[in-house]
Amino acid sequence: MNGLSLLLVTLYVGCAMAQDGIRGVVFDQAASPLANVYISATPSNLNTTTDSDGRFFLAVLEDQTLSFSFTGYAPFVITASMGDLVTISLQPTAVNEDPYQNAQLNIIRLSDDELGDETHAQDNISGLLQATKDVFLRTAAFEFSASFFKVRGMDTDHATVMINGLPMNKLYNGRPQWSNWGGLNDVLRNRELTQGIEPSDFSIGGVLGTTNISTQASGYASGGRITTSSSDRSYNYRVLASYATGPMANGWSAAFALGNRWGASGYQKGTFCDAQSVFIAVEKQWRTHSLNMTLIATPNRRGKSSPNTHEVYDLKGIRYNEYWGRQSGEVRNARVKRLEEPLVMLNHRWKLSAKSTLLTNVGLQFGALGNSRLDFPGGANPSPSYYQKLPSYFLTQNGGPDYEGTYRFKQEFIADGQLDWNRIYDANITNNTLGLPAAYVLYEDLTKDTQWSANTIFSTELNDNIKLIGTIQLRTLTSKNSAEIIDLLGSTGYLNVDPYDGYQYDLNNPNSIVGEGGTIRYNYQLNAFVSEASLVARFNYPKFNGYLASGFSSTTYQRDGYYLHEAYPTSSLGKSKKLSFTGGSLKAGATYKITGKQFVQGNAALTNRAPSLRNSFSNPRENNAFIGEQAGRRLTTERIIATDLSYIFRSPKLSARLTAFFNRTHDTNEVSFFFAEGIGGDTSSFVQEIMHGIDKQHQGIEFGFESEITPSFTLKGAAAIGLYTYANNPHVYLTSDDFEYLDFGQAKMKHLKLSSGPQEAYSLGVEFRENFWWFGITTNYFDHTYLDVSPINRTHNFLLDRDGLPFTDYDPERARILLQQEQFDPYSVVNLVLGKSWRFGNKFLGAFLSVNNLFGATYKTGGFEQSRNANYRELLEDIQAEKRRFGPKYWYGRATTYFLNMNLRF
Amino acid sequence: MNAIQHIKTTGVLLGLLFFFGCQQEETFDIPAELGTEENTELNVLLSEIENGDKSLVSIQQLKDFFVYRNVHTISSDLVVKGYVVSSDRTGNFYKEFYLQDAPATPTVALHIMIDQVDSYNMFNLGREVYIDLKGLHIGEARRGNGIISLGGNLSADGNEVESIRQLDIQSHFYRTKTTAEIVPLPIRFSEINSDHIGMFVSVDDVSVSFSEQGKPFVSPRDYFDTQRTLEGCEGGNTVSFILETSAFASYKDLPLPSGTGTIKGIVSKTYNGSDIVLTLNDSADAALTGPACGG
Repeated sequence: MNGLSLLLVTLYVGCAMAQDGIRGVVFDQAASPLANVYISATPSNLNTTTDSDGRFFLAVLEDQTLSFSFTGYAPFVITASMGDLVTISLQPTAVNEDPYQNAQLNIIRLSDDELGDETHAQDNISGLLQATKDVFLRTAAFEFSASFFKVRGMDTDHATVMINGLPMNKLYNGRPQWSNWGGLNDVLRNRELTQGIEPSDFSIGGVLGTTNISTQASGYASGGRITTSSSDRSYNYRVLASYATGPMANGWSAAFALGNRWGASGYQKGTFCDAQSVFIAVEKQWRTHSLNMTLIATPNRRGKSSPNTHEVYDLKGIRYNEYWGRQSGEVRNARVKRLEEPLVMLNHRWKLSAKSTLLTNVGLQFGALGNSRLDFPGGANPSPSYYQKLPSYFLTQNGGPDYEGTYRFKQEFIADGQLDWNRIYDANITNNTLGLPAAYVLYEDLTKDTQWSANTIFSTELNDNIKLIGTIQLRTLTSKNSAEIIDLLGSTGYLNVDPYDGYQYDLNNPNSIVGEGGTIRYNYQLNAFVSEASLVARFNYPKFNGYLASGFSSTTYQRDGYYLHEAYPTSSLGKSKKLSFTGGSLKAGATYKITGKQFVQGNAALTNRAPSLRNSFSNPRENNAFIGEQAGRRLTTERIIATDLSYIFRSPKLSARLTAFFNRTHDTNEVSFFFAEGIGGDTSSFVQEIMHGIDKQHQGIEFGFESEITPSFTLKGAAAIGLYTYANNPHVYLTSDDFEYLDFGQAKMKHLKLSSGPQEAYSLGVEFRENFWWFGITTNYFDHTYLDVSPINRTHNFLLDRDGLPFTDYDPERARILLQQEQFDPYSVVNLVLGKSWRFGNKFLGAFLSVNNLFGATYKTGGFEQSRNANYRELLEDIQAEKRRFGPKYWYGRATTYFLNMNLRF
Repeated sequence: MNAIQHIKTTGVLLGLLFFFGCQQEETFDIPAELGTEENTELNVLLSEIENGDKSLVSIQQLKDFFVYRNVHTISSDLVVKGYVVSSDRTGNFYKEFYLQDAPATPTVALHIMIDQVDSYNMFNLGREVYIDLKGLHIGEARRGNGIISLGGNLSADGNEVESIRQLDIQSHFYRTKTTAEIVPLPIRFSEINSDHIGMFVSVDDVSVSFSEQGKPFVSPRDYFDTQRTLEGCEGGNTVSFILETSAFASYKDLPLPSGTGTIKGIVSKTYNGSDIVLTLNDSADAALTGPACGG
């Protein structure tokens, strides 16, 4: 075992950013090299033939589908990635004819380092959705994503991710949950992508592209792969193994993969990783049918990291994470994300005729998503960076600055500044002596979803020029949500009563004492039912291709409360009204071929879609109210208008794309939860802030080019120049246990910038390839990143005193300065990759190192204004202090990190 | 490859993964012997008292250091011991607690000011506590309020004491493992005087004044404290006394009881020290449900 593990450590694999051409060798069934085999590659449209040793090389920078053909042998199709070495054994008889191919087959490989990284509240992985042959989108995925760049400034709920044609976006928030597929890179590489507005062959899609991952077992080349990795990003070690039989003579195929990622700490301290992955796909093909069964299970747990204020960052640096502390010497993180949502799928593919295919898919996804945190119903706030424990608090005492306190708490925070688990246990054990309930418990916000999805997709070629794709799809979700105690931390039980206002969380079981595994705080179920139908027509002519698409959707949501909340005696228990939405979508696009090298492309979409579940109920933990209900406003569908126009140049030496886009979204909603001081003058409350009817505008330019200067030297670049703003003044109201409903009217948001990552991003890089070595270096520049603003501070509440009249000391000029949206400093990040691959007989070995942020630039990736100081006077007082107590909280990018990968293919 | 070879290869890969597949277990040792360190420090303190390095003084001796309207800073190696009799669990006390000299029939009590909320889960009711006094101050939180307090800081003018910092609690307070049962001192309203401040007392035959029965402990109009009138039945005479409740008490909205019975609370004073009042640890200590006095 020792020898073997030593071997593994010195191995290669195709890794996240392997960027070599594709090399390989072709043998016959007797393992003799085959010369003059014709190889064509899509999408690059390059072709070559093997030399006398059966070898070939394709100088491509992106993943390709390679078609091998040789007289007397069955054609063979394989997907290969940049830097891959492929070994092909051609068979004299046809065993692997994939009837399902389409011209836009693209493959990407995801770095699961980024896949799993949702420890940031802003989980932006949109770039990765669209990593493709397109140099701009690939740059967005691999160079810009660490800066939380968002393609076109749009949220990932506008991108559609599918596995075998079944949509994977969560009904809860519309976003794909990438952690559900982490650690399975080697078997999730078969992808078909569309960009932007263009629909796919499986779905009409959104306006940010579609990705379909195929897990068809016969689609994997026979052979195995072992990957070992080491990193200091979101995990420390990774081992992956996969094996596929390829199509066997009896029509069966199977593929397996297992993965394990672990580490005591990612970039931020305490962000441990513990993730396993299992993948099984089995397929039986007979006559014109294929039935594929897929199982994906990726139980994973990850320690989360905190956003921090400037004050905290100044004292503790960018790796600081307030969520952990030592318990019996071990680092223990109180905030752990746990995801266990296995997916089972059956896919039937029926080749009805040479021109028609019918796909029928059924999928079941079920399991649990948990986010743990400490509750402190009978104790002081345990957060080590709670404002009363920071130096700024002592500088802003009513009686004047307390410099001794400032100094001592500063020293204390620098020296320790972590959770004190001992004090937490001590408090609970102390309470036990008097028979009192817990001062602290660790609980999990738990969502247990069961989602069934089914669809059928019929596609037919009416003639050489027109193809029709019709889809009917049903999805049904039951989502049980509750808080569950996972650790009583030495106490005897939790008193299920709101400690702030004394409300019974569940009036039907008043004053109940709850133990481990018990439900506390809230308990409800959300039901969703979505039915959709779409029709896509594709046209393909020598000078012109295009599409027309239309879709229809019907959505129903309902909440069912299990707790009778004391503050909401009539609206908490039992079923809510049914919310119904009817949506529709129209899309059209065309590409005109000016010459063989130049294209002009335009797309447009008009979409009406139901808001996500998250954006439909204003406070589902406590009551049935939907957004707008308390304000007497209608909850409507979201309207999206999207257009783009591109100029594309493609030649063997230069490929480039320039796109201008203009998107608007209308009538979207946002709910935030926070503790606000200064609501209605001078009261303080824990509130839900509902921003209703938000319009946003996204406009800008995307540019990407790639130029082969010499066969071994490539220059590439990309630029995104966007302007992403609020386009209206949305309506804001607050709800709370304490006052039910407060209308704040319009928030002055129009023209404020969206906090959707850098609105300007530029990249320039070079790549060298020679003798199985490759090296790349890229420099990236980011600008126009904005802080997320607090809407409540932009309403009239900001300037009104308790009596409803403006503050006597209100100064509009000063207010303007206070409310100036923060723009982050621009910054540059240099990334470097280095790789080498070897061949030993028919085995291949590769090593790959990537270093991100080579010069350790420090930069903010995002942040938000704390809404705690909700009026002029409070905010002025906070800002005028020597140090801000409730300044914005920020996420920082990582300094220099590495990723080392080794891979063996056999 | 044939099926057998496929299965063999798969088996080897599975074996490899189990070799690497060390799942991190979510197990943390519960600190079983909590307070071991504190107990060790307490033993050091006790031996220092034993061998004369430090002197144990009574609460009365400590309070005797107080000079009217002044603050006295303790510079010698003195230690005081007492039993916690107040609790901030309901929020009726805030960043303070009272120690008395004995669990039952106390003779004197002391007001402690600490900059810590929810101190009840550290200094629980009945807990025996030693305080290393060196560096702390004896005085009043508000000059002339008549409550002798132990604090950790001086006000800007040096005439008042302020809270002991949270960071200093560990180096001054030593809890023993003893939690004693506090027996309230039976007393009549007419007997209560400033010597009783800080003591946990019980008064029999008490009711809320008729006009305030059923009203909430704290009036919605009060931002800080509400004072209600209690009436003690003392052999035919009715003696009035003030019940003071903080607007931050969790039971502030509960109705005042309308019966008669025994009330238990801490003797304290109003904010400015003008009146002696009774302050409750919990509304449960005012279960006045019996029949009217003499009725």
